This record gives sequence, structure tokens and C-alpha cells, in this order.
Amino acid sequence: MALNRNLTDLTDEELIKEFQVSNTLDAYEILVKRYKDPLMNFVFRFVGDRDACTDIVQDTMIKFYLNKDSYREFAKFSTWIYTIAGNLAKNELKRRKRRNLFSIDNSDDERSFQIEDKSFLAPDRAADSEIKNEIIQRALLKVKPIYREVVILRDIQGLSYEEIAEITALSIGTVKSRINRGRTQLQKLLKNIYKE
Amino acid sequence: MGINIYNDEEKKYSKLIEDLKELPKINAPDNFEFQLMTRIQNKNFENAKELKEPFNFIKFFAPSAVVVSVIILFFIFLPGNDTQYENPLMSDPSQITSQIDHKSNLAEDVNSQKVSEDNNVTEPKGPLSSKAYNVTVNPNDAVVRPNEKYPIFRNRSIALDDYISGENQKRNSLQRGNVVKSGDAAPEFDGFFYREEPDQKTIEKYRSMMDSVKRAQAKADSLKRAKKVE
Repeated sequence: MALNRNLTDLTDEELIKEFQVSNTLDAYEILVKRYKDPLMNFVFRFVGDRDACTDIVQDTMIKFYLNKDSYREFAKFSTWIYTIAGNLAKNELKRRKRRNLFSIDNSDDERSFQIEDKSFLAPDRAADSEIKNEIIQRALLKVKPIYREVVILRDIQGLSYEEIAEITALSIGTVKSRINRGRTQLQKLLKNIYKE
Repeated sequence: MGINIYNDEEKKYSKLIEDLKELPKINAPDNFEFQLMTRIQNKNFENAKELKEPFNFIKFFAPSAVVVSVIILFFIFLPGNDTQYENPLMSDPSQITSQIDHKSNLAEDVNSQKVSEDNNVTEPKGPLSSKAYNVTVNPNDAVVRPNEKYPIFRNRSIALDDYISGENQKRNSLQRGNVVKSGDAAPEFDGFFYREEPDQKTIEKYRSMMDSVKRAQAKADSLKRAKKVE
């Protein structure tokens, strides 16, 4: 118990070091607890499917468990785990795209996430926060994945440009421009909500 | 980890960013950790492990083999034979070559005859020219020229420059036909005719003009004569 208390006080980097060096499973579990929800949120906003999202985060944690030694100390643990989750999420999207391409009936899950006709929603309905959130999520899924990822990381997950640059392996300038483009796309898609 | 300060760029999208931040957080299911630890204990890493397919020679080389075989088949069954092909643009026209050869042979014969008469000595030349020495052409011999495939009849042809400049306007309808005549069987086919219908008004107009000029000329002559008399 005393050890546990000590472990919870450790930073992410210290915990993974503990896991790498001593193979302490408790350290791993603490890191899982810390990151399961942020990763779930990130992957869900990126993929838009809760079941797939749970699988991806599970796979992320297993990858972390299996490849713990590939983590290097100079990087932040958060960026490392986000990179793994992001890559798995992208793979899932690619797989879906391929499945869509070769499926005879185009009745894939992704179709259900297409944004509704804007004229369908009355302004009073749009004002409702739940519906608004749903519309935003659907619009988010219509944004190109390369822009979507950075917008989620910045505006939903609240990461800094530097962290996003590290996760996506891009320069800060590219990250900024992609975020800007993503926001522009999103605002265009949500022009009924953001009438200015 | 989180930065909530808006910069200038972000002000433009402040409402959107606010809404994105306010999106409900998605949490992992309650049994997430249990499932994860069970998978780890059971070593059930199927999905997480990247399944790299072993290198497949057939898959890798099949497309390129198809392309190569198509190219080979294309060359094998390509119609036509390149060795027999002669570019008509690069070779001399056969008709002209034969005529030139014939004329040059004749000229060579005449020259050689003159030389032999002058010198009374026949010098053997190369194997190519030896044939020319065997032919003797006398001054009164009729030289038979080969049939020209495209004959030009001078009496029935016109000079194009003269025609354009306005000279040699007096041509009959046959000569007009020769302007556009073609083909090697000239006597049988006399060419296309362009029939010009005489315009009566134009003729009268030019006639009156000519008459007035003549009258003016006559007046001028009579005046000259009168001056001379005075």
C-alpha cells in the first residue's frame, strides 16, 4: 500500500521508468488509469465509434505494455502514448475506407456519421446543447483526418502546439496551419450554428 | 498539459473552440482495466500486434510478370516486318531515278564515242562503265526515249507566270482545261473545265469604254493633224 501511494505520486515519466526497469505492473496500471479516459476521448472524437474506440485504446495499452522499452526518456510519456493511439486510430480509419471501397452495399457504419442536411435543423433545435454537440461531432468527422487529429488534440484535448508537433512528427508551423485549416473546415460545416 | 489562452488566430474561432472544449468527455467503460489485465494475463495480444505478412514472391512479381509477358507477346505477334519496310520519304522516287540513269547513260555513251573517235583508243574503265562502251550511238540514230509517265504538252500548257501577269490571255477552252489537267493518260482525259459564262453587261461596259477611248484618240489625232496643217 505504501508502495502504491508512492507510485501515484510519481510523474508519468518516472512511472514508465519504474515499469521499464523493475517491470512493476502497478506502475503500468497507474499509467493506464491516468490515460484511458483522455485517450478514449481523443480516439472517439477521431473515429466516431465507441466500440472501435474502446478496442483502439485497449490495443494502445497493450502496445504500451509490449513495447515499453521503445519509449525513450527524452520524450514525454503523454506524447508517446498519444502517438500510439493516433496511429492505431488512423489505421482503423484506413481499414474502414478500404472496407467501404470493396463493399458491394455501401451500408457501412461511417455512413451513419455523415452530417445532416443543414436545412433540416431548425434554429431552436440547434440551440439545444446535446444536439449541438452531436452536430459538432458529426462535422468533426467530416473534416479531413490530418486536420481533424490536430484540431482534436488542440481544442478538445488541450495540448500545446509543441506537444502536438511531437505527437504528429510535424513542425510547429505545420501544426498551426493544419489546426487553422481544420477549424476553417469545421466552421464551414457548422455555418448554421456560427452565423457571423 | 492544457493551454487555454487564445492567441490572435484563435480569437477568430473562439466560439467554435469554446464549443469543442465543452463537448462531453468520453470515458472508458468500467470494465476497461479488467478486460485489459485479463488480456495481458492471457497474453491475448492478437489485435495489438502488427501482423506483418511474410514477403510473398508470387504477390510481388505477379504484376511485373504480366506486364513483361504482354510486352513479349506484343513484339512476337506484332504485324509487319521491319526489314522490308522502306521509308518513302528517305528513298529516291523510282521513276525519276530510272530517267536520270537512262539520260546519264546516253550522255556517257555519246561522250565515250567522241573520245574514242578522237583518240582511237579504248581504255578499259571500271566494271560499271564497261557496259557503256558496248553501246555505239551514231549521229543519225534515233534515240528512243522512255515513255514519260507524266507528259507535258507544251502546245496545250500555259506558263503560270504569264497567266498571272495577264499575258497570254487568249486561250481556247482546251488550253484552259490543261491548267488543271493531271494523270498519265492525257489524250483520253482532257482535264476539268471551268466554264466562264460571259457577262453581257460587263462586255457592253468594256466595249463602251473602248469606244470612248477610241473616240478620244481619234479626236486627239484630228487635233494634231489640224495643228500640223496650221
